[in-house]
Amino acid sequence: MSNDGTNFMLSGAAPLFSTPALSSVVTSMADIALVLTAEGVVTSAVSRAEHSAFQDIAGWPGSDFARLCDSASAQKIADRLADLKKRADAGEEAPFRWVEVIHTFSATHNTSVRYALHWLNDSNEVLALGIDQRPIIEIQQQLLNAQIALERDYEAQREIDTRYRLLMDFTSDCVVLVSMTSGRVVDINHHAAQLLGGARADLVDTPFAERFTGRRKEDLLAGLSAALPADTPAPLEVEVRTTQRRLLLTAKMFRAAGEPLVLIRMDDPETGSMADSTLTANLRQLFHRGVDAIVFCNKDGVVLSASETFLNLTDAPGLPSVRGRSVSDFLARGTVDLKVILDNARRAGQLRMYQTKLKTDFDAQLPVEISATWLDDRVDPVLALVIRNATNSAALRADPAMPEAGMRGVMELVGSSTLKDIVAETTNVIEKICIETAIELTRNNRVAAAEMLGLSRQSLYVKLRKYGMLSRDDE
Amino acid sequence: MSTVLHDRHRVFLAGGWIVEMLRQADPRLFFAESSSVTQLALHVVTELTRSDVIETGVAQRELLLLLARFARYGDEAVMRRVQQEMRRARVSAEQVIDIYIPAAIKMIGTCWHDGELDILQASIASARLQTLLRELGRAWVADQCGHNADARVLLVLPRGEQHTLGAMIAANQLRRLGVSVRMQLLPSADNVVAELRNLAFDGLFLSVSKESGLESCKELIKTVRTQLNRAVPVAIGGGIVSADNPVLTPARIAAQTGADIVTLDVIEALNFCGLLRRSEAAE
Repeated sequence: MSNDGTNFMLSGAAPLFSTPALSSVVTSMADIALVLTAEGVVTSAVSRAEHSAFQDIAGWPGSDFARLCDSASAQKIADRLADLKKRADAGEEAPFRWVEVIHTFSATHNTSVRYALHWLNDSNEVLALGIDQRPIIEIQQQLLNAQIALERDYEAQREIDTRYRLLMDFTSDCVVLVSMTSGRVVDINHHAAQLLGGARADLVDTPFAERFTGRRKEDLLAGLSAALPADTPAPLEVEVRTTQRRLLLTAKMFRAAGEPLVLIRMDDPETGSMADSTLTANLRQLFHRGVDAIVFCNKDGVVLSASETFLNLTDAPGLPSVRGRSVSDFLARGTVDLKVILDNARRAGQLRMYQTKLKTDFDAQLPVEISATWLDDRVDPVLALVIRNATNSAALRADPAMPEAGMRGVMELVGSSTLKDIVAETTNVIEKICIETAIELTRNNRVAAAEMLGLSRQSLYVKLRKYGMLSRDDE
Repeated sequence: MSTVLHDRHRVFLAGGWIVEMLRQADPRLFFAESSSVTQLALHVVTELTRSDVIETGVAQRELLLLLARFARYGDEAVMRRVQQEMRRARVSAEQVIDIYIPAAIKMIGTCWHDGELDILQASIASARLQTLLRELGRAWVADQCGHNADARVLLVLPRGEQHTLGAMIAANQLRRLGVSVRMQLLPSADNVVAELRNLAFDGLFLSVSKESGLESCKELIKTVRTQLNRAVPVAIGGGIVSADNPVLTPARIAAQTGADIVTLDVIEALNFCGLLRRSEAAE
């Protein structure tokens, strides 16, 4: 292929582009090639013939390069040339740099060119091989547009995904998505997992048919799809292997992205019948007459309802005097206790035998053990507390096993940080808890809190600042 | 250690509660019957394993160079080495997102500025890091949980901006803090006003990377302020905010655009907007 390059040079300039062959080679690799002196004066110039941007290249030899580009580019070129010269003077062989400049041909006509600058040792000049950046900028723009489109799709998918998850969790139906080809569970909601006696994570991607007594995959799926053509498909009756509970399955087949799926609703025929109402009645009796106090709170620890026993333990005159108050009002360590209970219940679903003291309205204290359960099968989760009077049992009980959640937490820590770091972090956390408690107990009396902690007021302030516990007014 | 604690025991006699707490903390030192040590430890562990903090610190050079190399060449073998090195050096996904990806982007920016990379190469490198961010960020998809479940923020990449990575990192960090984020990429001013009006967001966060984008930000903020009949705090973050630039300081950017706060720190921005529960606890 011939590149019939047009080339121009100052008389007496380096004969670099003098032969047509060399000129052709250079313009096959670059859109434009220049030879510059170390001071930035163009001595020769050659451009690809068909390149419209460099039509007036004939006038370039003899010009200062800075006059051919914008001021920022002129500065960049000057810096690069100085750098190349310095490196050449230091003895470096054939120093090389890239530079991107914007050529200003007129007020409206600009072209961005990326030059490779090669120092020519023989003539102490610089060979600049330039590529027009316009096609590259166009590709880059396409790339950015594609990326933005991708991100928009991703955000939209996130939103739909959130709604789907919420719908699955919120609906009172027990719903399972099963692949018709593999027979495995694709997705299952919380209620359905409970019916099958497992956790959602443990059931996904396991064979659905295995959950039921005497059912093979083909048999179950065939049974479900056979019922489909009817207008009102009759539910399929199955028995859960682990609990021997009888369930009715209703199915809807569909295809998503080529995969045949079946959406199955599981109904317990006994729900809402005698069995359920007996349980409800029993629970109500337990709530009203049980020896242990039962309190239901909202997610922030505000009491929704409390049993008679709780009112007795706290010497409260009646339910209205308790409802709407934070349960921390009745705990000896107040919000610190509540935070521990809430954090753990929320994290692990439950908290076993948390020891603290119950505070009555008359400031008497009573040792208690609290078991907390996080009821999150609804939009507004509820914290259920069973509070046992521990006056007698406290001394009898040996050190119980560390709750599972705690163990898991420790396992997460060990191996991800060094012991030294864990201990240092732990010290900080404990310090903070103690200071929070002292502030709480002294109703924000800093002098009293410092005394309680055995700190000088000054040290307490240092620590308060360290843990971000100073409000703006204090500073 | 025992004597130390016993000495403290005497000091703390005035405040019997804390003796009680320490006794529970280490029953061997006091009375063997206590069992609440686990509760305290449990609480400590809960505090420590909470992953909703934004990581700060300096990137380890070797891992950073590997990450930059992956960004530059997209080599799968390099990616595997990045993952190995992450495990070996115990660098978490959060640290990669909060420290390493921004540092790698800065390196790419410098290379582009020096002409070592052309604009297409730089954009592709940035796109590779963005893919990595999405892979690493999967763990925090849930929108409805978290401590600041009530806080909702509109995060906007204003018109004239090109790179989405900075905004994506900010979105990831906000979501990790439990803030519900809606992203708008290159929306019109009318769109932004409509979203703020219809969905009553608690704050408007703008991600700006270059100085030339400040003018359009100023216009956008002005439009929002005049057309919206309530005050919405406006925060600016992104590549434009740099500690290295002595001229274009955060205060200058704020003055130039009318933003309420200019910061790279999403926690600072949330705090300023009064959207961080933690700030309430400190009061």
